[in-house]
Parts: sequence; structure tokens; C-alpha cells
Amino acid sequence: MEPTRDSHATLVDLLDRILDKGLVLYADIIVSVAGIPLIGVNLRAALAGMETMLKYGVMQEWDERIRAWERENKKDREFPLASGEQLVLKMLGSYHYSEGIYTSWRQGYFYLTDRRIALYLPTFGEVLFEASLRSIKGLAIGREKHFTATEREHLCLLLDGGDTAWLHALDTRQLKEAIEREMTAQGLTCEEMPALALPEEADTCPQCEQEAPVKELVRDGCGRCGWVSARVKEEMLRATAAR
Amino acid sequence: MQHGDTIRVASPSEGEAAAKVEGRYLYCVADSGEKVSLGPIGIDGREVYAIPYKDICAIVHDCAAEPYQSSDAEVVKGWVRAHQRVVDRAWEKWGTVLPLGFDTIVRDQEGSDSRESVETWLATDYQSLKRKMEAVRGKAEYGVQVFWDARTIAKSIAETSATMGRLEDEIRSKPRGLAYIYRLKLENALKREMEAKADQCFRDFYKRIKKHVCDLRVEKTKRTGHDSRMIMNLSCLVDRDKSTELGEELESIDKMEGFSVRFTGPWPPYSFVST
Repeated sequence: MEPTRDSHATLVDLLDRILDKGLVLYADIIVSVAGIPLIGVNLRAALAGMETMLKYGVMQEWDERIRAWERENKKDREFPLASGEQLVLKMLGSYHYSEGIYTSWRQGYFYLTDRRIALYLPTFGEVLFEASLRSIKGLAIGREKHFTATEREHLCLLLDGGDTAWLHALDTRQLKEAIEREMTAQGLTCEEMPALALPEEADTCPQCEQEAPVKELVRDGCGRCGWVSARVKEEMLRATAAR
Repeated sequence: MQHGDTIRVASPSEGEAAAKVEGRYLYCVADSGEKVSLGPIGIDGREVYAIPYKDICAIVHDCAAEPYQSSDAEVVKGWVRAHQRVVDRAWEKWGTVLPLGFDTIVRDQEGSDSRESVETWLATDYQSLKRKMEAVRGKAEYGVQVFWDARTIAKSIAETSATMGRLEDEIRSKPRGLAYIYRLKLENALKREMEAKADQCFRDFYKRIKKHVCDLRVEKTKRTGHDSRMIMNLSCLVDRDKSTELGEELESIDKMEGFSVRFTGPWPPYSFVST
């Protein structure tokens, strides 16, 4: 068997060697483009698989375009400070949003100023939560089971008028201390209060309109009128039939 | 012919920018201390010449301090071929070369010409370059790729394997639903046996090939598509006068049913100069 070096049939073999191998100069006197032999890119595109294409930066142009668009169009909006308002602390965090039976932790950045604490979403310029320092009557650190199967701390705020807000931040304790410091500096007082548990979502029984926690309603039915969900009813029927 | 040290006329198509020399494009290091020119055989027809140090030299052309880049595949192919042509020419002329990869350009530093940088590099790395040169003297690199035809191999496994035969018998006695599960089992068993077979072939061929080569590198196998599958990809460093022996060994593999071999070369020793 004779080796071949026909220039058409063995172009790939040549490229494998010329583009990937050879003597290497480890010196800063070499012209290079981030260590990528951009030169072979198009040839590679025609000859190689995706893995190699990525390795040789074929997608680079596309990637650059996407990034440029992102830079152009996704300019974060500045947090709207009132005139004379001073920013004290900015921290990644979330707050417990609850509306009817829908609850979730909504994420954004906490902006603590000398006037208020707000959770702000820079990408959309949206204020998700806001409370003035004056309206804070009490603060407490509580713990809750997070869905990631870990326990984490949250900050419970008791607000004017009896409302409560649950916040969680990258460093919840630091956020709490910063709020307290800012309030003290302004001569505002707040109580250290016992931590409140996260509220259980409540709904009303579709039959008698008794208020009860959602989980309980769905699982056990209504304690007052005996209403059960269709699913529970079906399960009960099945259990009876099996017997 | 004496190479022009400072003044060189740029080809008209390249315009003014090209007249400015800021870098040296490196092709290879050759086993010669001669101060010679190889003529206008470089990339884009550039004048190729040697920068000597003691008994070795770097083969270069003058260029701008920026990499060769193009979105036209044909242009790039032309450059790659030109690079190879120059390395080949030096290889023919002096017998031993250490090839560099494409687009290695040494640029001018502040207060120092890139020519001096190349000389300094040759001087600093002299010992290691000489050692590398000794390691590849009188040798050439060959590419060896072994493929198998998946269909043929699968068929021969199905015919000879006891497990496969048993499974196949069982399928016939099963009702349709179960037969389907058994067919899946059969496919998995086949896949496993083929992997084992590929492994065993690799070891067998490796042993047989190793006898005829000075050094070898196992390269990544590549996707070839369809039924032909690459099961082995080697770069072999072979004594020039022993390539026939290797060829004979490969021929015996090539003749095995379901197997084929790609044998390319001789290449300059690209795979054996980096470490």
C-alpha cells in the first residue's frame, strides 16, 4: 500500500496538521488573535463538524452580533431616584409576591435609599416593591424552607397599617442592618419583633365560601361544608371500587 | 541570489500598506546555516528567505504584523497550500525541517526589528531545536486512518456471537410486544459487542503498526457519516526507508473484510515537533 499526498484528497489531512500542529513559539512577540487561528475558519466550516467550528470561532461573528444587539437594546435603566434622594445600598434579592392563590418570589435589586427600600428590575425599569422607611414599624429575621431543599433567611417587615412584607437578599442580615442604621440616622424608631411565618395562601371554599389555606382545601376539602375537589372525589371513588 | 534586507518591492495589488515590513512570517526551522533565498514562492508570492543562526535557520517572508485572514475559503486554501509548498521546498533542500503551524508571525518590537527577534529565538531555543531536529532526522510523518464498514461488521458479529444468536432465537418464540423489547435488547447487545470489537481491533492494529514506526500519536477519530466509521486515527513518525514496510502492514489490514485504510504522507513532521 502506497501513501498518498494528492493535494485534493488529502487537504483535510494537511489542514489537521498545518492548523493544529507544528512547532510552537511561546513568546509574546507572536501576532495572534486570542490564540485562535482564525485563518482556517471558513475552510473548517466546510470540512469540519460543529465542535471544531466552535473551537475555531466560526460562530464568533454571530456571537458578536448577538452580544452587540444585547448591548444596544438591553440598556439597563437607572433606578429613578427623587431629587436629593441618596442611594445607600444596592443588593440582589427578591420579595414574596402574593396575589390570590398565586405566590412567588420576584427577583430584582434592592435599592436602599435615605427615604425608602425598593426592589427594582433594571432590565424593564420596573419597581416591584417599595416601602418608605417611615412606614416600617418593625423588622425581624425569619427562616423558611426554600424549594431548593435548603433553609434560608428572610427579612420580615411590619409596615404601617398592618401590612407585612417578606424579603430575601444576597445577604439578608446585611440588608436588615443597613435599613436599621438608616432609620436610626433619621431618628426613626422601629421594633425588633418576633419573626412571622410566611403566610399560607388562602382561598375560599367554592361551595360555602369559607376561607381556608389553599393547600388544605385542595388536599382535605372544606372543613365546614365537606366540599372536596374533583380529584379527591375521583380518588375516593376508586378506593371504594377497589375494596 | 542575495535577499533584500530592507528594500523590497511590493506587488502592485497589495498597495502601500504591504510595503511596510513589521513582521516575519515563519514557515519552518531548517537544518542549514546558509543565508539563502528560496525565491518568490511564499504566501501571495512573497520572497522567501532564510534567517540563519549557527547551523540552523528560520525560513520566513516579510509581512505586516497582522494575521492572514479571509472569508474566502479558496483564498485560505491557497495560503495553506503555499505554506506547505515552502515547507516542502525547504524539506527537499535540507532534508530536516521543524514545520510551524499556519499564521505564526513574529512582529517588530519597540526598538527591535522582528528579524532580530527571530535570531534571538533561534539562539535561545537552539539546544531544544537541535534536539527536536535530531529526533526527526531522516524521518517523515504519515497519517494512518482505519475505517470499518459498520454493516459488514455488525453482520459478522450477529453471525458469530453466541449471545446474539440466543437472543434471536428467543425473539421468534415471543409474542409481538415482548419481541419488541427483545429486539431492543438485541440492538443494545450488538452495540456493546461492536464497541468491544472496535476496542480489540484498535489494540491489535496499534501493536502491528507500532512495530514499523519510530513514534506515533493517537489522534481523535472523526465522524465520517453513513456506515463507514473511523476506528483509528494515527500520526506516525517513520524512517524514510521503512515506509514500505508500514505500507505492507496496512495493506494486510486493508484487505480484511469490512476494513479499509487511508494512508497519507509523507508529511513534514508536524505532529512530532511541539514537545
